[in-house]
Amino acid sequence: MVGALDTRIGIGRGFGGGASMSDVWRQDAAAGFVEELFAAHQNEIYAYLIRMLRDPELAADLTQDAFVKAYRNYNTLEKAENARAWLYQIAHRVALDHIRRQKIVRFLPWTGESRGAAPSTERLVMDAHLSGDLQRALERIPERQRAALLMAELHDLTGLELAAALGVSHVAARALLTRARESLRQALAAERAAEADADATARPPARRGDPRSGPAR
Amino acid sequence: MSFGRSRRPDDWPTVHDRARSALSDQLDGAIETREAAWLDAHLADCAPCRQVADEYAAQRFALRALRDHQPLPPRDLWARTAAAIELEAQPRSTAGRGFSRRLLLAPSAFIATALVVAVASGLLTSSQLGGRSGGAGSSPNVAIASIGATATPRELAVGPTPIPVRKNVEYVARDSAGNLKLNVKTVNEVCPVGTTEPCDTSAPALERTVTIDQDAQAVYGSDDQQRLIVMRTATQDDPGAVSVVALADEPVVPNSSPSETPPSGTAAPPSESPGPTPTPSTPPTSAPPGSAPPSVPASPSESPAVSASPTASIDVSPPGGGSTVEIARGVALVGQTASYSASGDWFAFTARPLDASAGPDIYVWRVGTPAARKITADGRSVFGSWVGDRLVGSTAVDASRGGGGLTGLRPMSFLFDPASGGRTDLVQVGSAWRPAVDPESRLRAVYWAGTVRTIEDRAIAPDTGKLVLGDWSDPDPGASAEPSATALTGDQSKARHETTIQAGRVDDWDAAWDPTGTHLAVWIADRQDATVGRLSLYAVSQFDGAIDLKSPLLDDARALAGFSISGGALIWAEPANDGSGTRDGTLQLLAWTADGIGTVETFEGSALVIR
Repeated sequence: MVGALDTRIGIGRGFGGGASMSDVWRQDAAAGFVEELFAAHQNEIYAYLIRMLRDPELAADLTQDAFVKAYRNYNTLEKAENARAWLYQIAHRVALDHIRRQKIVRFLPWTGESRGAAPSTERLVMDAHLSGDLQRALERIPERQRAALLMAELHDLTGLELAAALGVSHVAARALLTRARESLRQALAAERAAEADADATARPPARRGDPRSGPAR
Repeated sequence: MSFGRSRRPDDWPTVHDRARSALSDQLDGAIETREAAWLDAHLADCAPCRQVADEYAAQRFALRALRDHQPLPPRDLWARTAAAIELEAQPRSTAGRGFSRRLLLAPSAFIATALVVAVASGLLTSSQLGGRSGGAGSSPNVAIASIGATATPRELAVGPTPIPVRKNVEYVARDSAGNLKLNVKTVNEVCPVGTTEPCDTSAPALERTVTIDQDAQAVYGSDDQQRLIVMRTATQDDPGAVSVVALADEPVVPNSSPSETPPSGTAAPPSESPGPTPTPSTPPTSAPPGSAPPSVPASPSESPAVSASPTASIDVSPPGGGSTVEIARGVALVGQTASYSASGDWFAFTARPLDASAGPDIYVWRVGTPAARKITADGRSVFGSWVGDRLVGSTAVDASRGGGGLTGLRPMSFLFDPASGGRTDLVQVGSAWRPAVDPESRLRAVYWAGTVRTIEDRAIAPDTGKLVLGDWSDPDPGASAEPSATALTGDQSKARHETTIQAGRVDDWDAAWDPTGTHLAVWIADRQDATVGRLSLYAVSQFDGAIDLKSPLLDDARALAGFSISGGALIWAEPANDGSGTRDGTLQLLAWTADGIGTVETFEGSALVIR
């Protein structure tokens, strides 16, 4: 699909004369472009978001948001071959924004305001097809690390794409992956230890400072 | 996956850290031959590292197995997305172009039409790329809040319907007896800009009887709602102090003694590692007369806990909170910038000795400890902002030290990790005084670009230069292999893409980002009276971090020093119009939501915004 985008832009370049085009045409271009992106990448973006957020409805909403943002920021994409990483970057930021907002909402003082109950674990496992262990371990590691792991291991982003999607340097992306692997390893070990414990049916949520929640970002 | 640049062997604290890093790189196919050989040799001797290697491999296997189970999006996702894009496009679109209709194609027709669209829009894409600079004025709005506020106030000046919000305005105000009390008022709606209909502001305030220092100059809240930090102005009889007022039970852990002068150097490492280490040599002083009001059930001086048992956590707070612990005393606060770190574990501010025997230094308080610690000792350092749990500060150094033909003092910013005491000079950012770094992207910062000078009381003030928004770069804490920083040379303004916020003389300012990095508020002190200034709010593009300084969401509103920005709202105190500059004025709230942006006046009287 990236190839197809290249071709499309290649054709366009032959005609030139961009500055005289009307705004409406530009919007048409953006809309067409986003349609193509959607067809090519909706499944993986949705899968990424559901794995990050563990909520199918929310993932669908944020997938929609991500493509609307792609449309809105269409003119910031410099090269068509970067479209996939660009889209992941948008989706990543949309996800992080949501996670941060949730944290803020959770800490709203004295009003008890919240965004409603989280979906059940069974449903999450069913939807995301994650084993219980892995699911819980992934939940315990910092979001940026989780994002890096998912993008690298499940979504096959290249090193360059990963760095672009995370908005960091290559070196920082590599270091983040290293930290993510170590965090997940520790979190998995903690999960398995907890499972081994016969009376650990009701697990308390991970807290900051809890050694089982892995190293900080 | 492949990455650039290799790391040096001494980039890791231990060989096992290096091994884990090498194992990770190996999984990514990014390991160099020499490092691979080293890893093999290390694994041969290190059984735990072999175990780690096995676990990394198993973890990869488990993650990759998930590829077989790709969750599929709902079938109507395109219809929804197209409708949202259509809404987005409509205000700017010309009627009858057929654009919307095409977007709303049924999913089944979608793929079939993709080719046609591709060819047709190819021309347009080219035009977009070619005409980007020329067409900037007509490009879509990029000043977008993450929760959907997509337009400037001018565009929002339609519709009289108040915008529903649910925001809490926290402030400190005097009750009828003249005592300062903590208040929380819930705002349910704000008025869109330009509307004439009044919003409902009748919600009663929830008053909380936490007694606050009567000479409070600034009050800081914490995300976890556990405490307030109150900064008290020095008076003739009172040396001033920084106090922590517990709002709920919170343990205080004795720590190494704080505000002593560090041994040497510009940024002294902590004398002891933070945490529950014993022997506080300076137990917090008891509150001075008049500052511990009768309603406080137990003053710190009466609490056996604070007399510093060197062992376990100690609770200085009686049930229900309200107790006060002074974490710094006999200091005069410098500037308006003070804040908690990202985790909420640390709080930093700038202060100087009351007698001006030295200039400003940075103080850091670790939550739960009895006293703040001075982390610089040069009398020329000020706090800028936090990047995660590391603070960014600036030291005024002799201009000759940095070269550049300057005279006087120039800023040298640095990163300081209060947990480890590690300091990194940020020569790569050039002359940047008091950077307020975007906490989310860490790619932009507001700072004074130019020189600084010493003024009365050994304070440091901006000299020649300007207040700008510029690029920011600091080493990632995990990426010790960042290329070693080189000093910025040449045209800093161009190199860091600086945009001027305020040129000319600036005595004091306070810049703060919304914690999600979506909005930036900048307050600039008036020249005549530094307790009053002008506050502006800007939206940050969620895609590329761009900020349109020409289209503020709030433009130069009169504001007393001290504002709060978080959770989709900016709260500030507008001074009275009588020119007195006193705290008698009104509290204002500006909120941004998916429905737009609006403001409301929430309180009239003498109040301090809890920052």
